[in-house]
Amino acid sequence: MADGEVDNNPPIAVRQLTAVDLLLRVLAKPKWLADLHEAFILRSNETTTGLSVCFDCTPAEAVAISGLNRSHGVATLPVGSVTALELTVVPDEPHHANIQGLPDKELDPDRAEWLASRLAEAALIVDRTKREQ
Amino acid sequence: MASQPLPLGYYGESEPAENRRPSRSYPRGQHSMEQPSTSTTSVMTKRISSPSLFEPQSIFEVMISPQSNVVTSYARNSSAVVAEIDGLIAGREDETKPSEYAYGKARSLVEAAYGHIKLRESVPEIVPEALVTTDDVGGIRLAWRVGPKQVRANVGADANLRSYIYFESDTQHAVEQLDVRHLAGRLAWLTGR
Repeated sequence: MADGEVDNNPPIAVRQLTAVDLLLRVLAKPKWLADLHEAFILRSNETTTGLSVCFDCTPAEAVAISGLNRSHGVATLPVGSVTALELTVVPDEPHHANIQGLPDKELDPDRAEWLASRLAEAALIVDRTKREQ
Repeated sequence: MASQPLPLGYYGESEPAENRRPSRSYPRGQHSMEQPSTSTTSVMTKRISSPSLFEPQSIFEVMISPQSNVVTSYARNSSAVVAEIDGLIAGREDETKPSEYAYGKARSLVEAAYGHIKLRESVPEIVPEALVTTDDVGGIRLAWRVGPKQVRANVGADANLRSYIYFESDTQHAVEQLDVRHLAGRLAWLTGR
C-alpha cells in the first residue's frame, strides 16, 4: 500500500493466549452434555483447520461466533490443559482459535479418541442453555 | 443347576436356566491387565421402568455408589440401544441422519453382541446404558462407560470410512476391529464379569 492510502481492511489484532486463558467449545448436540468427549472429536469441517473454540467472550457470544443454528450449551477448558497434551492453540480472530494437533478419527482413531477423553476431563460445562439463531 | 450368586440388582430370569452356559467373561489378553470389580457390596440398585418402552424385558436399573453422586443406568438387553438407533434413522433433532449402511451395521452388531453376552454368561448380563449419536457424515457412534472404563463403537457411514472399537481404562487404551466378538468381549470387560 502506498504512503497516504487508507487500509480499509487492516489486519485484525489477535492477542497471544496464555495458559490460564479459557477456551469455549460450543455444544452442538444435547447428548454432548451427557458425555463430553464427543465434543472433542473433530467434525469433518475441522480436519484441516483444527477444533473450533472461542475465547474472551460469553457463552452467548461464542454461540454466535460458531454459526450454529442451534446449540445446547458451552464447555470451557484452560489453554494450559490443551497445550499439556502437546496440542497447539492458534488464535485466528479476536475471539476465535483452533486447537491444532488433534488427529482425524479416520486417520488415527486411538489418539483421536484418547485425546477427546482427556480434553473432556479438562473441560467444564458452564452453560446448558439451548439457543437457536 | 447349582445355585450361583446373582449380580446385584438382578430380579428374575429372562431365559430358562438349562439354556445357559458357564461364564467366560474376559476377552483374550485381558486377564492379567484388568480385574473385575469386587466392590459390588458397596452399591445399591433401584429398579426403574422406562416410560418409553413397554416390553416386559425393557427394564433399566440404576446403580448408585454411596461414595459419589455418579449414577450409571443399566439396561438388561439390547432393546433400549436398538430403540435409540431406530430413533436416529427416524430423524432426531440435532442429529445427522445416519446412512443406511451405518444404521444396518450398528443395529445388527448391537443385537448380536448383546445376544452373544447373554448366551455365554451364566446369568443375563447387565450392560450400562449406551450413548447413541451420529457423526456429521452419517456414521453412528455408541459409547458405554463404567467408572474409568469406556468402550466406544464407531460405525463408519460407508464401507470406505473406518469402523472400530475404542476402549480405555486407567491403564490402557487401544482400537480393535468392530465385530460381534470384539464388541461382546469389550462390553463384558466393561462390566467386569
